[in-house]
Amino acid sequence: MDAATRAWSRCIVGGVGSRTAEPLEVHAPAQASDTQLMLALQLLTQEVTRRLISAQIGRLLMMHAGAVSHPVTGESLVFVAPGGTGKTTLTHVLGRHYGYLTDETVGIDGTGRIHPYPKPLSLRVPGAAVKNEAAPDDLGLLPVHPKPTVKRVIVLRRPIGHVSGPIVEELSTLDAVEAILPETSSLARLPRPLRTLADLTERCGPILRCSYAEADDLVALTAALIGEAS
Amino acid sequence: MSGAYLRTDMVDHLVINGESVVLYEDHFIRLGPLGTCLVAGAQAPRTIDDLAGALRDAFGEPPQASAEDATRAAIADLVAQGILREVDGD
Repeated sequence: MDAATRAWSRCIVGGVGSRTAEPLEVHAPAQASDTQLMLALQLLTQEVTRRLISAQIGRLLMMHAGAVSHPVTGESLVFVAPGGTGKTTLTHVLGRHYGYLTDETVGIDGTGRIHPYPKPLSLRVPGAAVKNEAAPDDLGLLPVHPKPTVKRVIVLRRPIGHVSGPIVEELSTLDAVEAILPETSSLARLPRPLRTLADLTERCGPILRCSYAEADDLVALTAALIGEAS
Repeated sequence: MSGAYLRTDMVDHLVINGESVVLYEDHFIRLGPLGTCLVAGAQAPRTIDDLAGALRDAFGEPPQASAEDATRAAIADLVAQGILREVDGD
């Protein structure tokens, strides 16, 4: 249970939040091996994420994305991408310089404010089928700005064989909506869902599509979009 | 394809610069200018002649086929995608 508490340290808050997700009862596996414990933590992350998303359906614009915020201004970049495109690796790299918001699901309200979800980072372990749920504190990730807002949204692609630096293109509003839609969660349950998404793309636009190879390649792009962190 | 056509129930339809995205509960479809015009025109039941007139007004006569044939083909495509459905035109 200590491992779970440490992994989730950024998400533990006192009192009662404005929204209550379906309660989740957790039992530490008895006499578990390291692999069994890792698997239990991985399943816990997946279950908490599922319940969190369910609790915010119809309230927040939610998308599969990693996000970081500038520690002084709160201006944030949202990196939209399907699984396996490097969201976790990227937020791991950028989070050492910028506030870590999440590596999984970004929730945005009608004002452009991001609701942080600084969950444990699900890191691949070479040769293992189970991911390591790493505490943001253990990885040296910076804390989140108190009022993070969306500055830009970047749709990530990681084409096989891409070896050059990042290639960035601006998307029209409709192209951006089309690119982001597959990565949204329960969008249809929001009022005026497509207009909500279009408003975001126009307020923070133009939305960028970025093809890249390595997370380190996006450090300079991040600094260009929201400024150097220090 | 001799009756009237009506767009199916959709969650949302976003039109920008003559093109659009249609959102359903579990999927979405991007539409070009012809499809967008037809979907916008079929909020109430419309015959092929009605819709051909709408396309002709918006885009002029098609270069190859007749307006009716082009409209028929475009409608068939939208019906196949579940965006329009045939209804009783009376």
